[in-house]
Amino acid sequence: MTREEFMSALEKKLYFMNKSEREKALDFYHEYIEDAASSGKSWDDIEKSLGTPSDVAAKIKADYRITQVNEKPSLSNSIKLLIAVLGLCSLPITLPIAIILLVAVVVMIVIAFSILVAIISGLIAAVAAIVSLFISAVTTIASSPGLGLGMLGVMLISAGLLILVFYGIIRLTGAILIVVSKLIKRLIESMRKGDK
Amino acid sequence: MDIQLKKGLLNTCVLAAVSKSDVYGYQITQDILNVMEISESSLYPVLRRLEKQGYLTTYTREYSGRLRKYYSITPEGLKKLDEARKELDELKKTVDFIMGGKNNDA
Repeated sequence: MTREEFMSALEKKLYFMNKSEREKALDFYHEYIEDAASSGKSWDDIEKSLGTPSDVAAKIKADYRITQVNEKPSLSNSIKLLIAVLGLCSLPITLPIAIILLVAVVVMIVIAFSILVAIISGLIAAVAAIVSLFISAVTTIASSPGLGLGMLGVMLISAGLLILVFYGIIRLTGAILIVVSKLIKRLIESMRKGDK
Repeated sequence: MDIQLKKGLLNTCVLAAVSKSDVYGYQITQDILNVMEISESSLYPVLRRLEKQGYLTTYTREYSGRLRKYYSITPEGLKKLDEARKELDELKKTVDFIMGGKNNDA
């Protein structure tokens, strides 16, 4: 591509940065190319040694995200860093180990969430079964009261059990959330300390 | 060279280069390329980060009718370079030991 196309492609790929940072980066490469050309290099050679605008931008992005996590360690910044790093071919040395732990936490959250969804589906099915049992019990009472009342009794016991199970699940989910949020806080603190 | 080792040394190399004299982007890239095999697009992120950390500072000068940005080292940067040099001295002892008979003069 031409020099103008290169710079324009690079600019587009740097839109994740704020304006001042983006302009600094573009100014740097603009000057760099000028100085390289002044020293006698052809644009072809310069382009070959710089790499593609994607390569150039990916390196800038990863480093940018690292400084963001250091300045403001938050879950969202850490995830953005993780995504930027995934775009590189090799890990920057300043990458904190905590990022790898973050991946583990995210995986745990996903698993916990899937289990929760499965449990909720089970509960919905149980509620549906109890409701239909109630309906059959009520319709049976008219024709055979004894059987109908018996069914009603079973239904009430099931409903009671279901409420207990439901309560237990809510407490369990709460406990899991507390553990996960403590882990995340610890990760963020270790990121704060980890990078020099 | 092992890539992680290389990247760790790159920061110190940049500080060492800037401590010798103020540099501009293309110049320092060529200087570092003389002593380390890196991709030329690796320099800008390092320079930017070192500036953000307060180890480098910048100013612009006119050159042939256009502006050029120069990097210079700060007192904090010199301190950081000093610490790195001490660590490398220790490393040197280990390296000399490993190289053993190969490098011995006696």
